[in-house]
Amino acid sequence: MFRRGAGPLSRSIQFLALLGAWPAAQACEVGEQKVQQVMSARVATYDEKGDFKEEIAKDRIQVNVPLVACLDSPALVKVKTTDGAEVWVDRLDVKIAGAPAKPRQCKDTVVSRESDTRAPAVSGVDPCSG
Amino acid sequence: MFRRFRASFAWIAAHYRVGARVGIWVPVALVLTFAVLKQFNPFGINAAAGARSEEATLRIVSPYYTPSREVAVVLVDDDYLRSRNVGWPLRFAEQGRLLRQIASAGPSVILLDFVYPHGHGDEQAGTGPDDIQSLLNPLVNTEDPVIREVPIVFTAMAKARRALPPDFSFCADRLRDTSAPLDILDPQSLPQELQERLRPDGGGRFRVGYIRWSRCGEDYPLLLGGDIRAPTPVFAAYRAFCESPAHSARCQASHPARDPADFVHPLIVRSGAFPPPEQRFAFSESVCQRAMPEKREVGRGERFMVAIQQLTLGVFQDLRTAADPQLSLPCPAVAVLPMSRLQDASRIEWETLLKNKAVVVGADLSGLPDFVNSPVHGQIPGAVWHGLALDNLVSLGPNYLADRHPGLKAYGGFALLVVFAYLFPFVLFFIEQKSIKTGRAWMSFTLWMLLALAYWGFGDGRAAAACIAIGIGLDLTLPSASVVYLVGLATVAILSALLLEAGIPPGNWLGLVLVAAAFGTTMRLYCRPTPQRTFPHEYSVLRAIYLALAGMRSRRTVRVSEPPATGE
Repeated sequence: MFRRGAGPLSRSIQFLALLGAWPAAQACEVGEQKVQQVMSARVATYDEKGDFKEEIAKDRIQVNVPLVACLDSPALVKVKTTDGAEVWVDRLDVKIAGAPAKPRQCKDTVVSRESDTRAPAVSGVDPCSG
Repeated sequence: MFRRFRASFAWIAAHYRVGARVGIWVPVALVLTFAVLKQFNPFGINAAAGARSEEATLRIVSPYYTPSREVAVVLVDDDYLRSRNVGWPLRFAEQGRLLRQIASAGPSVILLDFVYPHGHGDEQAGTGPDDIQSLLNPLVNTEDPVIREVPIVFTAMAKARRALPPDFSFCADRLRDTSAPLDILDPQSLPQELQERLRPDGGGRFRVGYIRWSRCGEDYPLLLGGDIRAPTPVFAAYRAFCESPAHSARCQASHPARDPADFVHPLIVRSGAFPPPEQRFAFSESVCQRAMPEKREVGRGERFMVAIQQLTLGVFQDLRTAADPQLSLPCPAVAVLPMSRLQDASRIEWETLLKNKAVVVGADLSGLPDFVNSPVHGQIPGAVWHGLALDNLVSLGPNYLADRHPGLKAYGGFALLVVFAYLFPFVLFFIEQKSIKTGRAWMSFTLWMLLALAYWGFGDGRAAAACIAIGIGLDLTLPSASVVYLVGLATVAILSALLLEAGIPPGNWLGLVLVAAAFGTTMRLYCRPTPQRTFPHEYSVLRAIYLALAGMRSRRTVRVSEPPATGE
């Protein structure tokens, strides 16, 4: 991987660059993950930007076959349909075997804040009032 | 007529002077003074004391509120945006996908606490406009029976008050005649595609709730202007909740669509001291106060202890700023589920948390000014406030806390003034007797020390030291005064809490105590002459202890100096 003859400094830089890229590369690595089960009767399909395309029946998705691809943002996985097509579906709609188990991370800050200033009782998110 | 009235008044005045040992004009003058002060509300002090009284009472009774566990609040949070590497506002397509995810878990209703007053996307930057249809597509183009059955309440803004009829008041006390036209929707705040999907009767799959009300104080109105065509988000969501097959039975006694008159008064949002156990899904127990048990209600003893804790420790500090979560009660009594945590959950967890629940979807993001002051939890995101109000309706139904008799509040204060004026001279005569005053001094000092002990027991050494200092200071100067105020304060606070539990909102009891103190101080000047006081005060407990110790020492000294017995 490292070029023969490269100096220790450039080797270190290359190594650090690869180390820095590692989490991103691993963030959505398909690896050995398989579609184990389809969780909804009707599954929505999306384009890779996350825009809704159509809804398909559960039995049109192949199970026990590897995932084709996955995306972190939007959180979609690409699966194969019975007619051989590949579609993006919501991760929540399929149970995936072999997915790396994520440790449960509780929030360490609560949603309330100290009442040292009084905020106006504006409900709803209105960007104009900020 | 006038002569007869004069004679009657003279007779009352004479009898009053004999019994109360003070002329009747003193209380009359005091009543008039305080009545004028109440009416003019200088510097808003009456309103401020009323609001503070309400806050304090809601805090004391918070352990007695039992959440329904049927409401969940899903919040788009900073961590979610960071992990997805997206900005705010979320694209309509992303919102639609989120809504579909939530709807597929089978909630009874979804209340969406986002308003859309502006176009999404940036046409000039080349990203193109974001169409609201992208949000609706995953929800309407479906044959999934679970998703199709979930009503969604969108939030829109009501028109500003000046654009509404002059007699229109957002917080009304009675139902408005629906034959009169009402054009309350600010059309800029709800996209046309959504407006076209609303049904005139307020039912159907897509509904609307109006926000941007004013002049309601901290209350949450349910029907703006008392008009059933202008529901607020929580009322629209509650109606949908009651219409869902899973919950229709619990609304049989009073249904929001059938009996809107039961819901016309603005709601005073009650907060609970114990979050639901579902809270553990997202927040560790070290940051939240203790949650209610999974399968039973909170015990009476525990509720009582927390209420007493809030009452005693809340006298001298705003407990919302306390470091201990058991005192500051930071977690609300609805399940708050941040999207950053929910996104990694399985479908089964989604269904456990959301199925058949009323789900409020909102945002808790840095820089968004959507925060509301809560008497118990500090500042909470607006969506959580909606969630608490909805939980109040689900939990209490038409018996939610509301000011149903505004006349009582307005004139009850005057009636109490008259009662004070009549009774105070008699009370003063009793408590100013020398034997009573000595007892009061001991009780005052003991109470301060007990309060210090309580603070010390709860780990607040600073407050304990302050109580000891105040106790010593008052004992040396006004030894018998504080017990009256402390007991009076505790009594009215407990009475107010009991009334609130009976559905009667708390009155301005802090103002009541202040007025009583002013009455007592003024009346005392007229009841008896003020003697020259010594320092330390003659009734001081510390002085009494010092004198007793000095007396014992002098007796011992005398005994030592006695000549030995000679046996003669």
